[in-house]
Amino acid sequence: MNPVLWQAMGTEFILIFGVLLLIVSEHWLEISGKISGIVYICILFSAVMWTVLNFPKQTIIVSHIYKSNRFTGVIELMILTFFILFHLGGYMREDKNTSSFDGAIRIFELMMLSGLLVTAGAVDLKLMYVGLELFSISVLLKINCYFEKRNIDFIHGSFWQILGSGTILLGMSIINWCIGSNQYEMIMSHLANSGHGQETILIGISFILTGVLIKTGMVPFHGWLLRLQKQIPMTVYISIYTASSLILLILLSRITCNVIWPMELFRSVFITALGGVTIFVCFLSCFMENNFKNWFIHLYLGFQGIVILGLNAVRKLNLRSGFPDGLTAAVFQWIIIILTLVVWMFFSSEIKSQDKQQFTYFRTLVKSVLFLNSAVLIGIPLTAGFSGRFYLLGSLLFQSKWVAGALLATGSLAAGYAVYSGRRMVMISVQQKGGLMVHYGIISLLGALVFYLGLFPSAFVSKLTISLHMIW
Amino acid sequence: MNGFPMVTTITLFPAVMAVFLSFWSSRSSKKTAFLSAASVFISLAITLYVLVKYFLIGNLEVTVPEERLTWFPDIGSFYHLGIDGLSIWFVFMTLLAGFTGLVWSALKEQQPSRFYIFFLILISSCIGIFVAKDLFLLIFFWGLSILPLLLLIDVEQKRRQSSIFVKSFVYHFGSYLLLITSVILISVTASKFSGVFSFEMEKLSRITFPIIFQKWIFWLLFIGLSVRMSLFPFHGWLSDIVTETSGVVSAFILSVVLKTGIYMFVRVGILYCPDVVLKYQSLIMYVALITMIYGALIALVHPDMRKVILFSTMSFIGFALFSLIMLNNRGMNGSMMIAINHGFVVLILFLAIIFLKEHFGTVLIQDLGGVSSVFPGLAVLFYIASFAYIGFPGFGLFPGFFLAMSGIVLNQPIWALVSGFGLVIGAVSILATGQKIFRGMKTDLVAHYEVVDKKRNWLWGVPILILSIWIGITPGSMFKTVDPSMLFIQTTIKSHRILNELRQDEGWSPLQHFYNPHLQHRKKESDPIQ
Repeated sequence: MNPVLWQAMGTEFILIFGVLLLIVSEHWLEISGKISGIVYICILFSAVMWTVLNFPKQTIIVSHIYKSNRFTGVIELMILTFFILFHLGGYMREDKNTSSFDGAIRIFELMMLSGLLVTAGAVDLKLMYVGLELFSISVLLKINCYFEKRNIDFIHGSFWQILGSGTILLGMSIINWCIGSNQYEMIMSHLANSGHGQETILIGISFILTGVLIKTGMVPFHGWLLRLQKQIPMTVYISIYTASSLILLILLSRITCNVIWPMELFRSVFITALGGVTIFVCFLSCFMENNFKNWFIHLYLGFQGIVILGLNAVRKLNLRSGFPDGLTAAVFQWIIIILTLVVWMFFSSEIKSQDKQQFTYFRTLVKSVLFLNSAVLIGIPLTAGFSGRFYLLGSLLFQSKWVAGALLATGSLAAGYAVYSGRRMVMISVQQKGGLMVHYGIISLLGALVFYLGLFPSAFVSKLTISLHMIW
Repeated sequence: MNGFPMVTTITLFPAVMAVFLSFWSSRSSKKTAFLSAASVFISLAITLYVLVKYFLIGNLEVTVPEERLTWFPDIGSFYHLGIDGLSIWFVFMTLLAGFTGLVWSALKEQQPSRFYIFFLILISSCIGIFVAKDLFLLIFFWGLSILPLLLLIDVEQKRRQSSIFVKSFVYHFGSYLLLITSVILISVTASKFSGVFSFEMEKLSRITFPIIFQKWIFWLLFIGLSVRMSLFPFHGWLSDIVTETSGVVSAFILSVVLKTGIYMFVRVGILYCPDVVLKYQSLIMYVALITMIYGALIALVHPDMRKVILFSTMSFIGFALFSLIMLNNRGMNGSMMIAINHGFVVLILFLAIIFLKEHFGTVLIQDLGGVSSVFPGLAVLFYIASFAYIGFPGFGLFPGFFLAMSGIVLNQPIWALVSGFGLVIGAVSILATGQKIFRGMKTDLVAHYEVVDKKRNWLWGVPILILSIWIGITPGSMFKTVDPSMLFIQTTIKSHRILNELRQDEGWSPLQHFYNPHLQHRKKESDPIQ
């Protein structure tokens, strides 16, 4: 096999190998249950090790359709680490109590991650589409495991996924018809150099972006995901949300930096509008929700809007001191938000949708952890939430993005209130059952990380900046 | 004590104790309270040492060693703490108010341990605001002070009504976001001039910002700080918070938390936006006057004793801002001296009212009368504190009032009369309240009250009163420390005023220069180089 290809796509190969391994162990060797979970963890861990050992110091281009560099390396590390943590946090306990403790879930999850990583490295619309399709099909199949019979919401969700695929294909066709290629670089050079056909390319890109929003269940096309989530466990929704939000962040970053970079007005208007609408719709819904799951989903989708706003201030790296640019600030903020989701994974094994009028006290530890989680989400000083929000606002104001800055400030205020408005639902819905020592250990580590990133984020952020700016 | 991080110890010791208490599961409320008070006392003792050694008897040229460590190198922010002649008094006031509150709480209240944890964090964060020499650090402490403030409401809200919490949250968090934005704007704008990204206040103060940026920064800051200073019409949160939290916390808010707003206005608002402050001097003056008169009038008619003190404090803040915005030496020094001395005296008055509430179960003026027959010592204390509060000669507020009024008369003799009217109404409201409660006709509630507690319930206020009398008799001790700290700000304002006058003599104002394209065009034409 071509060593360059192996080096570039090693992580994806490991994950695909993992899929095959799980299929063999599940269906032929009839190994399931806890051993299947351990195999799954080992596969993810091997992928992490591969990424760390082969973290490309230089960009590796594979046939002009795939690019492996430190940007893709960071994305791989982030997603794999979070999924290991998710697994440790919630899956084992969740699946013990349900019938879903089988390899199928994990097979689809590995397929989902492979799709995500292929999308992150793709520098061609076709490969991007393949990765996205692999991702969305895996998500649907994974959700399907939780339905015992035909379900109208699942059909509804599938319809939206197909619609999303069609929209992306239409956009790709328009661009291919216009410039004869689907490579990011070619599209960017056409947008930068000639006025001829610019509008057509932009229409094609608009279709692609709409399709991506539909497929990732992002506002304003999040209805199908809301309907589906009611019937799936909370932990499954969290993993799907994490993957969807990351794939959206990757695609928006890639399209912003590698495709529509010369069209400053277009990207600025699109990202500001998307972030603003998301914040407005989701946090407003949070204030009115009485159902914990709906509140939770709207809350995190709202935070997704805050992260998206950061992409308004992407700029090419210079060595001058100052605020990190929008890309770093957005990814940093995303990491912090997902850290809070890991905490949810530990405590959401018994989520029940109940009315918020009741109020019950729980153990001090659970209350403290959830309090710290809320402080991170609101952005209280000392926690990583504060530094993340400060960087985000700073990067926007540094680039004179006033509208986005104002939206972010309003969004932060709304986010604070949204977190507060759901505190009783949180208390009533989250229960703690016993708990393993490893859980408490990981929770303590996460707490330390939250304070460390809140007080000394500079070293981490500067490394993140250097890695993420390999996107160019 | 060379090499000993005194400022850090003063600032963070209460917070460290709060962390310790959060892990220490003692069921005894008194033990927790005394431990908290002890930690604040240690900070207070170090502050007193610094005050006496470096500012009162020491050579003023020798400054307290500042503490500076790299913190956020990518954005040019440092962990930079320092105490100067102005901040030392504010720190002292904070610790004294905190210590008194904690001892009071230990002796008279049964509070859960989380109350002490939040209160200690509030004390630490307020000190942090006064000693921060880096804008990022300042805003960090500012944000940190909001959380305990809100959580202390939650501790006390027995009925679990969320409306007051939400209202306070929106006020404080909203204003905080405005402040963060303005601080980032200051740093970002400065970096475009100096080429170096920094949040250090001293470095930033050397830069003259363009008027358009000054305008943005100033209005963001002013609106953000108006909430903390509870200027009209942003005072809505204060009334609720004072009635819904513990008396000790309310006293601390009136004594210290409101002053953080005026302190930041001096340190950041005036220093970084001198041209805009000069331009909108009249507007700020009117806001201050309205706050002052409104506060005094409400205090005069309000039936709730706590609200009388609250609205008279609001009136004081208005007056302090009014004299500050005169932007002359006397007005600015007087304003700061009022802010500090008010913090000492309001503590006595408010705690006395809380004492009455605990014994009679009411805070309504109409329900009390002739209390001096039951608590004669407390009546004397309240009367003396009232005289101190209205600025009677011999007390700490007198030199402040004197300087402030002379500063106002110098610039605005007509408005000085109006502000004097406001002061008189404020004084009447306090004296009338004291007279009605202690000397008025004995009400049924007081007549049927059986004195169980025969301890000397007035002793706690005596040290603070002695301090006020000492400052009143030797005002120079405070003035000589405050004045040098204000000198730099005054010099900046003076130089900008002269510059603006010179520019106006030449036929254009700085605002026109930035807004009128014709003038810019004409200037380019007349410039031989271009």
